[in-house]
This record gives sequence, structure tokens and C-alpha cells, in this order.
Amino acid sequence: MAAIDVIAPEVRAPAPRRYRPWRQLGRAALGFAVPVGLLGAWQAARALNLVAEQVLPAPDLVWQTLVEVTGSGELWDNLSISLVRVAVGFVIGATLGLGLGAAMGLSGRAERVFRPTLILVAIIPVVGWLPLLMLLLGIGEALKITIIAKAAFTPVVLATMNGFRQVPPAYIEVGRVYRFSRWQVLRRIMLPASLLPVFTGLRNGLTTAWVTLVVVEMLASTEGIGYLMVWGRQLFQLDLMLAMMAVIGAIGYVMDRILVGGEARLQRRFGGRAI
Amino acid sequence: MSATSQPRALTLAEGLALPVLLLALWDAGSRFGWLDGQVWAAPAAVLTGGIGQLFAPDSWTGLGYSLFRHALGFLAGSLIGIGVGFALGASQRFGLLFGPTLNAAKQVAIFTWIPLMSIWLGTGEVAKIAFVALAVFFPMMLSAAEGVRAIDPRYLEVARAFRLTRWQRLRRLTLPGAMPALIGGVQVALIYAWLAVIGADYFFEAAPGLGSQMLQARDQFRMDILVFDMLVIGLIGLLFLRLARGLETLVLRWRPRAV
Repeated sequence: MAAIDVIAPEVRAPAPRRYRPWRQLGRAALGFAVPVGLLGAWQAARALNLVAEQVLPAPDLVWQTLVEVTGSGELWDNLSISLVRVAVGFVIGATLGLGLGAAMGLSGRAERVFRPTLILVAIIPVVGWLPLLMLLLGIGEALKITIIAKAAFTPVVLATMNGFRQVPPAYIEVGRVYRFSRWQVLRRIMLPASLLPVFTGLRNGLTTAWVTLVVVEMLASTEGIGYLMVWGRQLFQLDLMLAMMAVIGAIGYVMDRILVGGEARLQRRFGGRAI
Repeated sequence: MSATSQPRALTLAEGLALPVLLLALWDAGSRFGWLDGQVWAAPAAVLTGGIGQLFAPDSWTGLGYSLFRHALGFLAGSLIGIGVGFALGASQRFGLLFGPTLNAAKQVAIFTWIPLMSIWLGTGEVAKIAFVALAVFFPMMLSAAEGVRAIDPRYLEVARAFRLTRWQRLRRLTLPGAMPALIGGVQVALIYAWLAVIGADYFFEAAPGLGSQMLQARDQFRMDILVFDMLVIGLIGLLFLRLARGLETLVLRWRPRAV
């Protein structure tokens, strides 16, 4: 390796680029070309009757349906139910995860007591828990909240525990020198020093919670956005199904973007690295 | 850390305390009727039933089918994913054209595709394997693209100087250069595929497999089968993680330790 490094010619640094807004715009346009082309081909295929309405409804019909269900309030009725489920499940799961993760990160005994049980819960994925929880809790609201809470819990508890672990012992020594109380150590040292990994855990928890919501609503629900999508499938209203796919995708995307942005800000503010 | 300062027996006892306590509560609950006896089997019954499952051929054929779908889906998804990922990473034009679309598609939660796939591909084996392949596709694509971008441009110049053909360049430079990232992708993809295999059984038509087996067990109030299958799912997941780690040490032997 080193030998190659010595004889390899210097790679010329690219000349400092002038700011060329047209080029930027051109690049963005290139990225839009494919989806626009696909949409056009899709619409054309429908217009020429190359594919059946029952296999792929035209994009303008999907759009029309989306506008319709938005206008009639049907979308919002179902979406609000879904969002409440995610929010409640996430808050419960994340709170438990933060508490247990912090306890396990701070105390060796807590870690030894909870670790085996936690591993058992964590290695069995949400799809593995679903049938058992359906048996024990029925298919009501309790099932949805529990499974979403479990989905959010796992990444949060692991990230919190590891986040607390990676705080350099020197920081805690400083706290000891200043005779900080336990609470002060937590508040002044552990929390700020582990903020970034914990936030990453929360982000993963929310993403998983959203995916889990869709799964559980598709499988066992009579309302909610996931249900509405499956319902469209069952009635062969593919326009409704595709519109709901788009809504689910868009919400997941926006949620993730906001949290990634928050993460980047935290990183600039506090430094350190995400895990 | 502090685990070394105390005898192992104590550590073991601490770790077992909570599971034992929960089991005792569960046992008491089913004995004194706090738990609905129709759905909650007693722990002893679950244990004996689970041991019975160990020797029941049915439980292993289901696993076999699931592993088969996993293998096929993983193979298809990773081949396509690596191909597209290499193109994304190596060709700027391809990246600009398809990158935004693929990134947007990646954001759609994987299970959301199921209704659409059931219309296009039916609800049989093809659909199940395609769903697993889709779950594998995105992580493999991302890691392949990342791996190609991470290759030192000086190596590309060397390849150009030696006038390597496309095939030689892929074989000698791109594949080994992207390998560390690819292995990371494999680790994620193995687990995603495993989740997809089980989830696919819930939504597509019932056929032998772990997921269908569990839904059936739920309908028959067989908590012993459910718990047994959950443990199998967890253990296979762990096995995949081990496998990926083993692969990493095996394939990346040539790489100097320090990164």
C-alpha cells in the first residue's frame, strides 16, 4: 500500500468550480426526467389500452381519487387514526426504551439483570411477535399500540445503552472531581454526551414504528391508512390503493427527512458521531 | 467492566432472575385464573408442547420452505441490487438519471408494495420470492453504490493505464474495492430478507412456511407452537448475523486490519 502511495502521481485537485446555477438546474431536471417519463409512459399505456384498468389505473385517475378522498374527509379520518396509533405506541415504546437503556448504561447491575431478557425480546422481530400478540390481545387497539411500542422500543433501548456506554470515562471522572451527585452526572454529563446516538435511536424507532403500523393495519384492522390501502385492493379499486401507497410513502419520507435534518443539526452543535 | 469483579455464578443468577420471575408470574396467573385460560397456555404446557415441536416433522418442513424462499429471494435481489448499485456509483449520468427515483422508491415502506405485487404477480411462490428480492434489493443497491464511490480514484487511473477491459476492471478493481461496503449490505439484507419471508406468508396465500404455520397456530390457540416458532425465527436471525460476520473475516482477509 505504502509503496503505491509513494509512486502514485498526485491526483490533481479539480479546479475550483465556478458557481453555475444552470448546471445545478440541469442535474435536477435529469433526475426528474425518469419519473416524468415513467408517468408519461404509464398514462400513454392506459390511453392506448395497453394495460387493463384492473391492472394499472391511469395516473390521472389515481390523482383524482386522491383529491376525492382528501375532499370527502375519508383520507383524514383514517390518517388521523393511524397517526394517533403511531404517536401513542412510539411514546410508550420510546419512553420505556430511554428509561431502561439509561438504567442499563449507568448501572452494571441493571445491565446484568435485564440483558438476557432484552436480547430475547430484541432478536425476535416484530413480524415474529405479531401472531402471538394477536392471540393474546385480540385484534383491537391494544394489539396495535403494543406492537408499535415494541417496534420503537428495541432500537431506542439499544441506542441509549450504547450511547451512554460510549461516553468517555474521563468525563465521568471530571464529574467525580467536582463531586457531582448522580443526578448531576446524568443531567450535566451523560445526557449531552450521548445526545446524538440517542437521537439516532429515536429516529430509527420512529421509522420502524411507521412501518409496523402499516403492517399491522394491513393485517388486522378495520380503519387506518394501511387498511384503506388493502381495502382498495380487495375492492379492486386500484386507484385508491395506489393513492394510499403514495400517501404512506410520502409521510414516511417527510418524517425521515425531518429527523435526518434534526440529526445533522445536533451533530453540528454537539459534534461526535452517530452510531 | 465490573462483571469481572464478581463471580460468574452471581452474574448468571442476576441474568436469570427476571426471566424466572416472569415465568413464575405467568405460571401463577394461569394457575389462579388471572389469565384467560383459553388463550394463555400454562408455561409447563408450552414447554412440553415446544419440545414436542422439536420432533414434529411439520415444524421443520415449514422452516425449510421459508429458508428456500429466503435463499432464492436473496440471490435474485442481491444480484440485481449490486448491478444497479454499481451502475449508480460508477456512471455519473446513470446516477443523475435514476438516483432520485430509486431513492424515493426506497422510502416507501417495503410492506406497502404487497397489494400491488399481489395484483401483478399473484399470491403464490413467485410473489413471495419477488417480495423477498425487493426487500434485499434496496440495501444491496445502496451498499454497492457506496462501495464503488469509495474506491480510490488513483486505482481507476491505474486500471486505465493498464488498459483493463470492462470485465477485468469489474473483476480486479470494482468487486474487491466495493467488497467492504457490500459485506455491510449483505448483513442488513440477510435480516431484511428474513423479515420479508415471514411477513410474505401473512399477506400472500397460505403455503408451507413459518409465517403460515404461526397464523394457523394462532387460529388453533396453540401458544406452544407460536413460542417455539418465535424462538426459531430469533435463532435463525442470529445465525444470519453470525454468517455475515464470518463472511466478513473470510472475504476481507487481504485487507490490513487498521481502517
